[in-house]
Amino acid sequence: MRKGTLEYCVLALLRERERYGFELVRTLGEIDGMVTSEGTIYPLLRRLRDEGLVDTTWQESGSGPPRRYYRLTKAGREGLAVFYTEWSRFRDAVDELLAAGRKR
Amino acid sequence: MSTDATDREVDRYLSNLNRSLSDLPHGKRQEIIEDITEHIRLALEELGESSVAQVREVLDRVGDPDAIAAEARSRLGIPQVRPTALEPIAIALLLFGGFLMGVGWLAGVVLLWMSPVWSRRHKLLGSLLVPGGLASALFVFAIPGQVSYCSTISGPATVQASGSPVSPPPFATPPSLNAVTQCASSGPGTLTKLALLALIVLIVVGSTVSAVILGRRVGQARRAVDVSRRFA
Repeated sequence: MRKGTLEYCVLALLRERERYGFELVRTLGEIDGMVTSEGTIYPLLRRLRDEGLVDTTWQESGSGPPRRYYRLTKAGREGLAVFYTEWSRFRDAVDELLAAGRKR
Repeated sequence: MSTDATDREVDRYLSNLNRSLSDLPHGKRQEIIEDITEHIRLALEELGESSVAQVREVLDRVGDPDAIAAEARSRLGIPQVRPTALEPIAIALLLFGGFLMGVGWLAGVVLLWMSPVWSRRHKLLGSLLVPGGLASALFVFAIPGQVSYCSTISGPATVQASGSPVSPPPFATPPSLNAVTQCASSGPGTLTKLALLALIVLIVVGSTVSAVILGRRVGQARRAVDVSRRFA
């Protein structure tokens, strides 16, 4: 389940603004239990790009070579919205079950 | 900023990663390596002056190359290659199969090309580096045996020398009582002998190196299967 939700966490991080790879990976890597290691996120970023959920641009940085920035595409935004409704429904159902189990 | 020692750590990590990703399509592998190289560069830049221990910590956070490769295969829909018992057999046949009339070696080549574990480059290396494997060293031994030089000294000073590839038996001339037949294998000359010796060494070293390279790829594919089972 964790694996299936990771890609939507990436999309969610890009909802507000575009970010470069390192920033995305650091943010996700710091959430406990989200990823096995920082490096494993890059194959996912590549797939999201292949599927057209994100696209990338090269932008100059103050220091060093240009950086690859990721931003949400229209398809990515729609995918995230669909996931959000499904996830809320699922989460509420699980919460309800867990709460009912505790009362007994 | 960076010293030779820390650079070496990063280089070693990247070359391990490259090996772990070796069954991915070239473009995808290149891109993942580029992304991760950039990630490591930025992480080290953040640290400023960094010791070897700190670099190792950064690389630890980036993660096990086999785990990254397993993730890449599952995310990008590339089937996991599973080594079977046939790969070790192929390696053994490539090394020693030549002793079985050469047929064993050919069987090794067939198994080598059938296996999904090895890349085209591995397959070419396995078939072409030392055709015949270790057994081809025997052919080298066969060469100097055919050019042994014999000289028969009979009586005062009659010397016969023959240098034809298959020397006629010295008994062709009726052996007189005080005739001495000398066969010297030093005929081919030291230089030729050295060259033949070098050829034997090359065959042994070449077959061993190619077996080790093929074996390492099998080991790596096995580890990858383990890793993907652990993270599945």
